[in-house]
Amino acid sequence: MNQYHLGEFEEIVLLTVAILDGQAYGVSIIEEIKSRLERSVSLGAIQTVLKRLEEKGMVSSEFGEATKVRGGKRKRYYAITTYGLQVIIQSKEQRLSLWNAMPKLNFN
Amino acid sequence: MKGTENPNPPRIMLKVFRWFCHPDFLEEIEGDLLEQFHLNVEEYGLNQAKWHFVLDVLLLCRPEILGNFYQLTIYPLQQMNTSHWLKLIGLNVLFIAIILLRFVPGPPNQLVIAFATFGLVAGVLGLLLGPVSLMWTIVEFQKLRQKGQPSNHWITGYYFAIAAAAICALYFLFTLALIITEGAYGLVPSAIVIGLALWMIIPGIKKLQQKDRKAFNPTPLYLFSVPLVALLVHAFLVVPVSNFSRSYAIKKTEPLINAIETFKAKEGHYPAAITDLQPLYLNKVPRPAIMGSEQFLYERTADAYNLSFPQHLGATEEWVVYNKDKQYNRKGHFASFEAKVPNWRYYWLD
Repeated sequence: MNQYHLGEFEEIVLLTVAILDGQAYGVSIIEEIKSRLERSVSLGAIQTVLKRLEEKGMVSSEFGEATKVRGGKRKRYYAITTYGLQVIIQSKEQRLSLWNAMPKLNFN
Repeated sequence: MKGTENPNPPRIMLKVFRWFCHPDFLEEIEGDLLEQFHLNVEEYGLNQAKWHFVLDVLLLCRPEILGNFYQLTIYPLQQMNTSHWLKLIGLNVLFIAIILLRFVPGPPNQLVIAFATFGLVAGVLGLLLGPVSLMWTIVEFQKLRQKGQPSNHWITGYYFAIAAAAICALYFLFTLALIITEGAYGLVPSAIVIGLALWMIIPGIKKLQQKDRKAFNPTPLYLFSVPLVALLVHAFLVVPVSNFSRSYAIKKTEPLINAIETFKAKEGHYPAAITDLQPLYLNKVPRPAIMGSEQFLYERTADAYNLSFPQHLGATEEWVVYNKDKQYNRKGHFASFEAKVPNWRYYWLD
């Protein structure tokens, strides 16, 4: 059983933050999910999950640069923490063990 | 690129977002919203990007993102003094009374009937005034959270007050036109009250021109709450209260129906007019005894009679009819129901 209680969308966001490697902020995460999974997500959903993950200690954040297109507002960059990394590794292992436990199915 | 060179998102939605967003997240999320908007302009064009922006702001209304409850509600309400509260409560109680008095037992009163029309007018007025006063209330609340920041005519409420006054003036002129051209004298109290409201609002608009005005202004709260309460009363209270007044008025017909039946037994036919019962069968013809209904209407048919009285439920007019042969059918009704008392039925008309 997963002791971390990571939801499906939380896992996707956490993995995306890890993929973006220090360049993850609201808009870049949306674009990454869109290009990799062809899935449209709202800024509200992303921000909510990011706040939740930060509260759980799976990501950390810090302010970055401000740009003109952002109306002079700074970005908040997210990075995966060691704890967050442990969580997604464990999640992957659990899924793999389930895949490995599945018998060879013959649909013919 | 399908959009313009310097596209801007809908400012009103940006203001709404700034109002509800938790101050700790405001900078980063506003930046993300604006960046996302510019990307959407590139991809979909300006018009669609604006709709995406509206949707994005609405989807940000989540418990994790919202500013704390105290800042949004209790703190602004704490800025209201006793006089503001008394005015707010007094105005709303007055409007509830105006709407419901017509169902209260008592002598028929033309003024009560006329003011009931005003209750309806206030409800309709609120459909236009409601959004303006809601936005104004939000800006007033936001003003308290952002003390010391640069002000403008939106923040002082100047433009909102002009919009509210314009809506009231439009209704005033419309009501006046109906009175003059159609002889709708029942709307006179409505015209007087809207005229008085305008007379009080317009001098206050000048004060709002001062950009350094920081004190809490409760006017939008009054403008928002009164039509809202009027709408809620019409939606949830009018029907149960009218059920009570209908039963009450029906009970008052018992001596009248007994007198009509005694007349029939002795004379061999029903009376041609209700006044024929006096003085032999009835000392005085009773009235419905609710403030919004003037009298019972009597109509003799071939071998029976109809006894009826009206009730005004707002936009709907109700006719409550007694016919012991159940042969009556009110023309033009869109719904009819059996009353709790046998032989009574009520009809709803537009």
